[in-house]
Amino acid sequence: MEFEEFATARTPALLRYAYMLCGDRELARDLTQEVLIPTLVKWRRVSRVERPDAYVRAMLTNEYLTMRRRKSPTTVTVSYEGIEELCAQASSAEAAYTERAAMMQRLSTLPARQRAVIVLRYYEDLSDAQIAHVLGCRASTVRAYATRALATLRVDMAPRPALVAQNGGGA
Amino acid sequence: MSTFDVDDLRRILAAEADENAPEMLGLVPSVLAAAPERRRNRILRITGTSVVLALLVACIPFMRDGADRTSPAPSAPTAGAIPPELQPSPGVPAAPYAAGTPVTLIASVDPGAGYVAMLDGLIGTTQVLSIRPAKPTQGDSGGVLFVYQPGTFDPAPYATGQIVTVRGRPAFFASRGKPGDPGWEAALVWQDPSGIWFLYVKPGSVPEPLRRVAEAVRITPREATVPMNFGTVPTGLRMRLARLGGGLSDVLFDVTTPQWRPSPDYSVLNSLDDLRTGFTVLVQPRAGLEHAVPTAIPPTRVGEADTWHSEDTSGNHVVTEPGQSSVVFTTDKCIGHILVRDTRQIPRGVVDAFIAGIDFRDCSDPTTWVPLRY
Repeated sequence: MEFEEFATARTPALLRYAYMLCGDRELARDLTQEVLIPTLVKWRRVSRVERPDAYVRAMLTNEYLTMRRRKSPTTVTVSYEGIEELCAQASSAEAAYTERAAMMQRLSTLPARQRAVIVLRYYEDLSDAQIAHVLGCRASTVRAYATRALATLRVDMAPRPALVAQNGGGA
Repeated sequence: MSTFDVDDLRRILAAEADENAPEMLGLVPSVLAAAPERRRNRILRITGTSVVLALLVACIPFMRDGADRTSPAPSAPTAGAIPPELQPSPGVPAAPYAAGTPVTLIASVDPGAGYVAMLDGLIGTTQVLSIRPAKPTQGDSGGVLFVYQPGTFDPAPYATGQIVTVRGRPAFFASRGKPGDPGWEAALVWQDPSGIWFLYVKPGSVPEPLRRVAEAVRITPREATVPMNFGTVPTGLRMRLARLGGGLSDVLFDVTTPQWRPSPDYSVLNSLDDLRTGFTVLVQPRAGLEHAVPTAIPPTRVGEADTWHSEDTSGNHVVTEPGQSSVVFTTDKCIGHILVRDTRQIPRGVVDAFIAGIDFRDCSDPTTWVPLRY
């Protein structure tokens, strides 16, 4: 597979994953770009691994965690994001998104590794062993991160099938 | 918000990613453009530290020379005097703002100049573009360009800045703060011979990075289009703000009173905080957003759309602040939302009449869209 083919197929998913990690659209683009460039540079090697997409996802995770340690994102006093924020305020009563906004706000308060665990577990549907491999830690550590994060998010571990069914069609 | 279970969490994460994750537009070409340089850097790294150090030592005088060339010492303030070249042309007509006038987006960025415009917006008659380098550039994450119609911008606040040259004409450069400060930013102001003013703002202290963007800006008038033709806008209200997401995925309109005009500096957005009237319309392609359609609640048909009004769905997904109301609407190809900020000003009947008058187009097919009008 050529890099262009891989990038075209996988970039949307990587962007989504990056966005779920960092919660910022522009930063998500930067993260994805910063990972795809070395992927292209090392493509001959990356393309030979069993799951190039998983490999690049792990690179992206590390880039996110490294970025969080390295610096806080700088803010521009006036930016287009400012408009978006204002627009968001104007439509803050956007009904379908209220509970989601609250959840995303809580997610944004999580430490980087806890957030990565939540996203890898509940968005990427990885097992704890797979998450441990991505993060370079033990599965028990992953479970500890997840427990703390879910408590912060106020998420019960046990699913509630009846409620899920009831809310299935709504937003 | 009450507690959730993990299935709720999965659903929320998926919905958030579906709705708000960035598009890949332009990303792969940026990667392809940036990779050769990164590859060269990698070769340099593995060639050996001593060689790299030698190269760095050899480059220092050159880099210093380049810095001298690109970062001239700040010139003395000009005490508010505006050079004749920067004076607005006499007799230039005021910006078109008459009701029904199609909105024109004025400027774009030369695609061959190494920059891309990520987003387009409109505040009153002022176009706003988010500009970024086409490939990763150390220390340059891009900035925001404001494009002012002739007669709508006063450059006086910038006239004490450093004078630089943009496209052969004088321009003002000003900066404040220092790297790391939240308010660290620089502004470049210049004018086209047509009378159009440009204001570019980004973090920075020296003019050259801003000047390079200014050199890449082109005047390319084109109509702003949207996926809905408004029939009857409530009396006294006018289109005032639009967010046009590259014409691809979502469009947002802010419809409110006509008195407002953007202030002539880059704190312009702050003046939007006083929005207390009017209503906002957000619309985007329905594809991929089926989960946002409140199918559990019977809709009310209004014109071409199925609608769910907050008054009918209290306690469910439609939540508003006291005094506000909202409507979720769908068509075959679109899903949208209207937020009324003051129901005393705009009662439900007015909103329904507004929706009934909308001629919806295919939100996922910009070729079917119609001009956005003031």
